[in-house]
Amino acid sequence: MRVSLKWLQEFFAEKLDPKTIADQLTFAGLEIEAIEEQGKGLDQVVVAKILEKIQHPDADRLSLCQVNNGQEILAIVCGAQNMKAGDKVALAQIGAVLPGDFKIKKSKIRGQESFGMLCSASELGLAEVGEGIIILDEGAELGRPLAEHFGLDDTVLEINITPNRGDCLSVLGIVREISAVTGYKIQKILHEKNFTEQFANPFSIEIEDAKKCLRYCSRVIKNVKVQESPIEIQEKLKASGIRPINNIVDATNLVMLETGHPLHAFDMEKILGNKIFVRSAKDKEKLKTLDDQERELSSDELVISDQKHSLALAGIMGGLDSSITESSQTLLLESASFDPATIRKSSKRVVLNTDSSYRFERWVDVNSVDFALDRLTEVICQFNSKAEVSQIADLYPEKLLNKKILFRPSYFAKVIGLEVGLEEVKKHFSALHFFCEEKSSYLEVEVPSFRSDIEREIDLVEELARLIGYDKVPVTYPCISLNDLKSSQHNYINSVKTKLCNLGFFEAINYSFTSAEAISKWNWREGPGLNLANPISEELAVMRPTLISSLVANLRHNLSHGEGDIKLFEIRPVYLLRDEKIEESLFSCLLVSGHRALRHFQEKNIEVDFYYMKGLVQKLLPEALFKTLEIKPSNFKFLHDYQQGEIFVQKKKIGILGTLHPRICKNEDLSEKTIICEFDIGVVNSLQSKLKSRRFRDYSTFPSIKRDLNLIVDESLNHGEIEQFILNCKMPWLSQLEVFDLYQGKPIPDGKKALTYSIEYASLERTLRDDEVNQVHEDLIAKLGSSLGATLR
Amino acid sequence: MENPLLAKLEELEQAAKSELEGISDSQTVSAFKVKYLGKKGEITSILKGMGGLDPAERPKVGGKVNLVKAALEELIAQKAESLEGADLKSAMLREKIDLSLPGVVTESGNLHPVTQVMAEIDQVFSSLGFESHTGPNIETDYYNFEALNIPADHPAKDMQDTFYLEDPKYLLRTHTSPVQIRVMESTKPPIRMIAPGAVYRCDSDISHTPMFHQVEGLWVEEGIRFSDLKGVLTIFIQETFGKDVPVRFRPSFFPFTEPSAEVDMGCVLCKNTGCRVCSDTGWIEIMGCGMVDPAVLGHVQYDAEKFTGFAFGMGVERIAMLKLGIKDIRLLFENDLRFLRQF
Repeated sequence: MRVSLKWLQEFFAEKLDPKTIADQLTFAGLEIEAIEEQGKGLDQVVVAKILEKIQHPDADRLSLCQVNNGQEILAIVCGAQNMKAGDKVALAQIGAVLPGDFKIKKSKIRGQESFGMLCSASELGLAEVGEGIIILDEGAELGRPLAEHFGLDDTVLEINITPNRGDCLSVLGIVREISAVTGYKIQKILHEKNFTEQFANPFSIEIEDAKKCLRYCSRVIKNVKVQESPIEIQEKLKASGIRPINNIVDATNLVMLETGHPLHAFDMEKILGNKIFVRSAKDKEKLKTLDDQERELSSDELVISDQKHSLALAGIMGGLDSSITESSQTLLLESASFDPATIRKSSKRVVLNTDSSYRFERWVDVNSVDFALDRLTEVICQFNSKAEVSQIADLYPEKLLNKKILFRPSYFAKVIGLEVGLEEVKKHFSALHFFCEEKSSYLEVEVPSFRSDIEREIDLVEELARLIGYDKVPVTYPCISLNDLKSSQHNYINSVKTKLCNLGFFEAINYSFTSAEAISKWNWREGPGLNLANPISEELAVMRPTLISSLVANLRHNLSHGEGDIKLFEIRPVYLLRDEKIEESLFSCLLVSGHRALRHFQEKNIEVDFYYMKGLVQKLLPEALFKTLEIKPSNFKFLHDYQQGEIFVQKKKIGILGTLHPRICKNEDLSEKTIICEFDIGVVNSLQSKLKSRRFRDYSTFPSIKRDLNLIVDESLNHGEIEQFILNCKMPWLSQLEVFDLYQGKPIPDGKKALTYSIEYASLERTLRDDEVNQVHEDLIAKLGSSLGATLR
Repeated sequence: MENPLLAKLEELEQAAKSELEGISDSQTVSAFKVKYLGKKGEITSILKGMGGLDPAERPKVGGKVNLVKAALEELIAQKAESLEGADLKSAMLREKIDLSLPGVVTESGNLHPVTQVMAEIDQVFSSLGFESHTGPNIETDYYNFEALNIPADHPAKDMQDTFYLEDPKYLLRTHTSPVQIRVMESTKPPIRMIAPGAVYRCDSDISHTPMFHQVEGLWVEEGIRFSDLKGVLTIFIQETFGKDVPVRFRPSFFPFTEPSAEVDMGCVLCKNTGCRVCSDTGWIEIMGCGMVDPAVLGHVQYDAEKFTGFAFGMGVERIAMLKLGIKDIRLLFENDLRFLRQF
């Protein structure tokens, strides 16, 4: 909220220094976000008079002016056309620095010297747009600084009012706060009621639901003349960020800014009958609001209406048809208090947020509704000496009494850690206009109704703490009992992340949402992603069920910046709708592209492939789980037809692994050697937590014997099947089995392949003899031959 | 008269020595050894010829033979060693390398800076006895708002622009505070916890991304006071940003804490004197905090007369950007290797 310091100053005898007041308010909870010095950038800009204007000798569009700044005559080259000799204008003199850091210097324009610049309103930052230079009124005093001429010597405080402090959305509210934090006395009393009620109010009021409209006051004023407001009023409005319109609308805005009460003036001639209804809108009822929008309402909205038509969207915006025009002469003024939640709901529903709805949502004090109306009447009468004022009509179904809350200094000490004396408490509370009554060990505090945020003892604790100052609260260090130690546990997920980094991977973090298109292309899971109801864009509209699309996007980004060898991983939650239920699981995705290692001049640079990725998976899975790893052929369309599979551990499907499909690589300009792997690391984590803890395994201290096994088998026979077969044979002493070569081609016959295994035999008890090992090895070869059709190479 | 064999030995020794001197490769040394000291070698044959000597002469000649033999053996060993050294040297010369060529580097990757900063925060709080907890990113209105004392139709909800799913029962959590509720629901005090994780708000511009990360913390126990909150957070900030960093607490408003505060620390760039980063104030807003509102404790069935507590929350990206000097928050989510490699 913007508040004029000049306006605040009207209430105090003491001089308010902007910086000091800003600090004091900030440390009382009203954060000052900016201090705006008006007229900044207008230094060295003065009122001047054009004495002579001639055509620039060498430029059609420029003119050459002789200008009097009150002290000397200056030559100025000017590009504008709207001035003539005798006009008073704004002259930026040499040394002025205009908004946008535009420095005015002596210059030569097309051969003619110029000692300054005649300015337009936009060049001076006084208006958004402005054609031509400003022509000032004839009475403007030569040489007077422009800021003074315009009265731009105010300072505006931009205050961040938290949602609980609706009472501070007004000059009066801020004045109360300043008084409470500084101890300055408030000098000016607003409510003088210097008008007389001359006739009875012809209108009666009916409130349909007293829970939604708590109070409604109205008054009729006759004989007003709608015209421009005095400059002083316009300045106050402008400083507060509100555009002046006419003296009536300006008066309602001024009193709103002053008191925090949104007010409205209807043109009485346009109201049918003599009763005002505050009722729910009828379904599909139409109302054209002041912003010229025809709105269709529902029964959730509250309207102000006459016997036939709705006149205003209660608490939000007036209707166009009943609004003040230049010819309006008789007004019906409104001041009311509505239920905050009701106003908030309808403001959300009709998507209309106004100064009025903003305040009503944050509570407008029901007990000063009449005061605000009187104040409005007063201001309108100031501008309209002939105005005739009616009595007030005031419907207030259920009077709201001030809350009484008990306050224990002992509770304050318990929550804050600072002891306070009763006298100090009373001093601070009375500064907030809270009335304290002393009981034995506590106070009974009566809180005025404008402080809707104070309802409980803890609210009083906060008020007291902020007025005493948080800096007065000591710094203490709580103790922990040694039998209550807590700390972050070592966890599997973090160890996987560290391992991946050590293996050369970089961790990526992508948004949890992506495009529907990406999901349709890359989702391999059984179920759709989850759509956001209010996404920022189509690109960020669906909660991702897989991390693959994001990492592929990262790959594309990095390739386009000249990177070739890329290793990325992401470990994040993914989301899926399965059987109408939301599933949130922690996934791990790995992507490799290009070469295995960094290039080195000595070494052959090997490209990554399926087996490289499979090896990584081995490294990341706990050994006991890796032993149960199976990769079963799969059929995902974004993966290479014959280099992809689903990952199973302990017979449980946890993810997929594969080379990107060559077509996708080609179409999307990706490297052909890109391997991805994604698995449910949350499941792996819970499986590994159930594993038995590791135990020492005895190993042989006697020499072992190694034998190679050079097999020729059918092409269709998998290594996995051979390995499983050998292990199932349970040959004595077999301690290690390793495949170390695969070969196809001449001289191996077509349809066959050669696989070479290294087998190690060892005993825990003794040194083995060659002949007994040979016997076992021969047996194994025979079994492989008879069962798998394997021959020796 | 002297035995002629002695003279011959003398001669032989001289000849052998000069011959050995001229040898420059180890094979010739071996041949030389055979020639003089082998079974049929010249020295050996002298020994063999001693049979014809006068027995009185024998020890004299034999002694001399042994002396010559020992001397030659010694010389041969020396020669062999020096020749082998030379061979090795020339072999190694052929293996001479360019010391300035680059080494073989096994590239190790990095954790994302957001993860790194979260881990640092976790580390400090873990050492203060806080336990780390996580919770779902997709939440319900109850956990994200209601249980945290943010009623429906309250302007406080506007402080956090919320993403909803198509099924309006669900939303993306706007803070990690729901984790606190979940932990309190299932645990009795004392509670000391932090909740790191991703949070979401409908906001996207130069300084906001629709997803970002928070670490929130909670301590609920009998006897916990606002003064303790000041102590713990001051320790945290000074552990993270430097022992001398000044810290101040400013009143603020959060629906789930009362009293509430914003925490400012002295700007780490200008050392509290004022610069562009701190908008010339010398202070940087670093986190929000406060005493847990009794209404929140009531929601999880804690006795608010008995237990008090404090809660705090901070934006991880903001801290990462301050610590690492990153100016544009969006860089954090591009996953450009030129960016990731730096940390």
